[in-house]
Amino acid sequence: MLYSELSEAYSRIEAQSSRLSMTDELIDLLSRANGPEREMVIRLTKGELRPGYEGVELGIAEKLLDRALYQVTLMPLDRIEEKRLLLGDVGLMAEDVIRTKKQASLFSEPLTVERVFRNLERISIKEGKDSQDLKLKIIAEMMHDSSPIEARYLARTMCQKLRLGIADMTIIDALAYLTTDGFESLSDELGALVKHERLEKDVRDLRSRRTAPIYDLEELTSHPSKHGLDKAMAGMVLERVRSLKEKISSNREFLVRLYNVHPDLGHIARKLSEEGIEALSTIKVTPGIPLRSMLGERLRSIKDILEKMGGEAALEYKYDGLRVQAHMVKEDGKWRTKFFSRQLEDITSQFPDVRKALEGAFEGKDCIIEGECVPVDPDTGELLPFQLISQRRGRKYDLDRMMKEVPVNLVLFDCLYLNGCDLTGSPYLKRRASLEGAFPSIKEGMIPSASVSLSVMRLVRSEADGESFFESALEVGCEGIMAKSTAVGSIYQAGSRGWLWIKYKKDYRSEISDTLDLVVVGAFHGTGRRKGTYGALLMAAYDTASDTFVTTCKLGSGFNDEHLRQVPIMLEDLVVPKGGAWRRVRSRIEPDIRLNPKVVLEVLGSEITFSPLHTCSMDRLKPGAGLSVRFPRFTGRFRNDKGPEQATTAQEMESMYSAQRRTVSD
Amino acid sequence: MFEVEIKVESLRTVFSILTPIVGEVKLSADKDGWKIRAVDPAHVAMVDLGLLKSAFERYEVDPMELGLNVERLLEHLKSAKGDDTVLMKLDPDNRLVVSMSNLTLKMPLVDTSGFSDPKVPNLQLPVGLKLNSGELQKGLKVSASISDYITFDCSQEKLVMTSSEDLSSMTLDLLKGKDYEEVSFEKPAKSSFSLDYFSQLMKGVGTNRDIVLNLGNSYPLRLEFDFAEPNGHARYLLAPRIESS
Repeated sequence: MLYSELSEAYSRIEAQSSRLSMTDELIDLLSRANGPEREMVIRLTKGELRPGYEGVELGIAEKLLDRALYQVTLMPLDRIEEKRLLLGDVGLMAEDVIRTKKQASLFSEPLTVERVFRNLERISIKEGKDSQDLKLKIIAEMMHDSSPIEARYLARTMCQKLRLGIADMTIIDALAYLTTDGFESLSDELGALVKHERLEKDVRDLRSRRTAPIYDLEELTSHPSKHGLDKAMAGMVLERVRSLKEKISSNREFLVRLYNVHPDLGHIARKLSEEGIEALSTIKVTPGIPLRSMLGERLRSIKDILEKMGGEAALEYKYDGLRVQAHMVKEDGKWRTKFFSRQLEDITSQFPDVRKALEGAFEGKDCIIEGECVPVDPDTGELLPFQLISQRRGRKYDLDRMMKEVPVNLVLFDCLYLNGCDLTGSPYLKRRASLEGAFPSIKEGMIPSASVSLSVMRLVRSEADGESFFESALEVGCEGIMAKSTAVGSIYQAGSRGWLWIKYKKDYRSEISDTLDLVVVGAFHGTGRRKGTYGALLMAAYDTASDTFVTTCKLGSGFNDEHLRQVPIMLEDLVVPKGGAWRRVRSRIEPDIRLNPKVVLEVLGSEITFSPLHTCSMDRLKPGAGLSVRFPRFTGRFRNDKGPEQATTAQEMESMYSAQRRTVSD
Repeated sequence: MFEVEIKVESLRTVFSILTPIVGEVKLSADKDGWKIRAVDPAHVAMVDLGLLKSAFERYEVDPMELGLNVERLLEHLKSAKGDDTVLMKLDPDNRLVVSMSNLTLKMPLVDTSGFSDPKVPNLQLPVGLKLNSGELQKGLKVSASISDYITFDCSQEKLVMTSSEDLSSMTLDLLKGKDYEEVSFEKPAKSSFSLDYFSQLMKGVGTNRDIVLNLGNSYPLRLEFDFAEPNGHARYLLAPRIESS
């Protein structure tokens, strides 16, 4: 297949806005390609050489393209660059440069899809010394043989700027049409209808389309009198069209299922074209190839969730982090471990710490497991805002430092494959049991140094149990809970959002705009880098009604080394002797050291949430719950100017909580 | 087996014919001699060169293809005296060994797997002239200060080289029988060429060499000459500039 055919199709696709017309173009394009070409066309159209999860990078630097175009056309480099900036697009720039080329060449060979694909592969593999020269040579050779329109798409493809807006589902649609026999004979049906003269033009339009005939024919033939068609004839055509439509849709469903467990459309298309749709059933869940993640629906109350799930649900803490799918295979005593993100990118290199922990804990030969990777405070073991995790992204050199400063914990919650068996068709509780069995040493709850843990899970049958579990989730810094069906049919639905999993989060957006001034009433011993000083402080608000200090959070973030040195000195004289009375403090948490309320610190938090552990405003807004500050952080400001009675009051906390709610319901 | 001895001067000429077009070449050697064909990355200029076995002092070669970095080799040869003899062979590690008088160089061969094998296009050129390279060089040199291309316009009686831009222009008339000898003439020919490329090629041709120039209408030119007479023959092809409409 010539690359010019592909380029022309791209340019038509760019001019289309409807998904149906894009599908038409794709069907037309793919129907002209043989099996290996179909794979290449699909990969090129997606702007990649290999499925995304294999991490093969295609991008070449725009400057290298400039130099190649200079070699081909002798247009001065500064003019080429100027055109790129002026036109704002490498594609249009290359097209323009090639069109205004002043120099003829001795010979040229037509670009084929295969030649382009193989050359791009060579470019992506080449690394190291002399690689730039070879890349330049390959690009120049291709640009040399490009027509202006080919240059446009070739340049965009090479620079990773090809954005055709073709979703994977559109490609699957096109493949579903192509796989369905009887599709071609639609034109015969059209021929039968063409006898009615006034339809002739409509029919001509229809014939040029691949997908639309189905929809339009259905419309035409289901209202025969309206369109002046013979009733009997229309009825026959309608029947055929409907059965075809059904077949296409069942083929599409089949392809989507495959795609969800093996998201490599290039591979699927090639196999489909070379071996037929039956052969595709050999595509199975395979360690090393990521599955598309299962997602949850959302409901507004525990009651609704329990109703939906038939009275029982497994509730898990819903951690706010990075969804990770881990694939582990042991080969000749060596681990082949890979981590994939929800976007199916290979993120293995970001988490050597987690990798080591998993490899040490796994008792089996291969598995695919899922979890949420969350950043943890190394000193307190508390959850940190998940944005911190993204700091590991793309790090090569100071990853060691990052691992120390922002340790992460992969909280495991599912097992999709174990010891050669696909578990995606097994119910949730069986998968959970497999997970626990395969990693017997990994327990629920966060240990900062452990790198891996098991998600906290409880089987719940009553609303009250659900609510208190939800609050304990918020208490440890989770964003809510995930309820999972325990029914026999609670399979892992790769790539789909369904009611087997239901999210329950707080239904308001959460932000405290103001800082809080809180009183230190207790302290916890530090570990790791904070050994010898305090790891976290127990903070309280002032309750004016009872003239007591009521706890509202554990504070461990925001301290620098200087603060860490100062704080113990400031608190020295306030320590309550062991067994001594903790005057004016009401707490359900027992710190390592009790402190008399005196020192006030300025604290910033992300929101105020309910908590069964903290005593601030206990039972006032909700039975059995107090108010706590989520993600508290010391601003660095010691409020020496304030006495403990001038601290933020419980009453202020309550109105802040209500204000939060209002901002959302507004 | 690859082991040859040749005069520095001859080898230097071979390499300097190649370097205006490419830095690395694929050398095909067989029992009759060397053949090298190369095209520049933009496919604008091509060189096709042959050197007979008789040009060598010693020639022991099994048919093979070698990737040579001629740019670097030429650099090394500059230090040697012209009538010195240079020895080229492959060592057991398949490295190229080059020795001249008391100097020995070893270098890896160039990987030729990415090299294409250009086919010489079959050109129908209505005009053929024999002339001295000096005449062409004169025209090219002056033109280069005026424009970035030069036009050759050949009629029955004369070859006119012109170059112009804005208000400046250059015209150089070469007369048949006086400045050149007609080899063939079917019809008048006119083509323009990039001075960048052409001047480079003329470096490869060298000064004061008899050449045969073939021209067509907005068509590539062919330029042929002998070197290391009578054992070497070289041919350049150069694609024209596209006339702006």
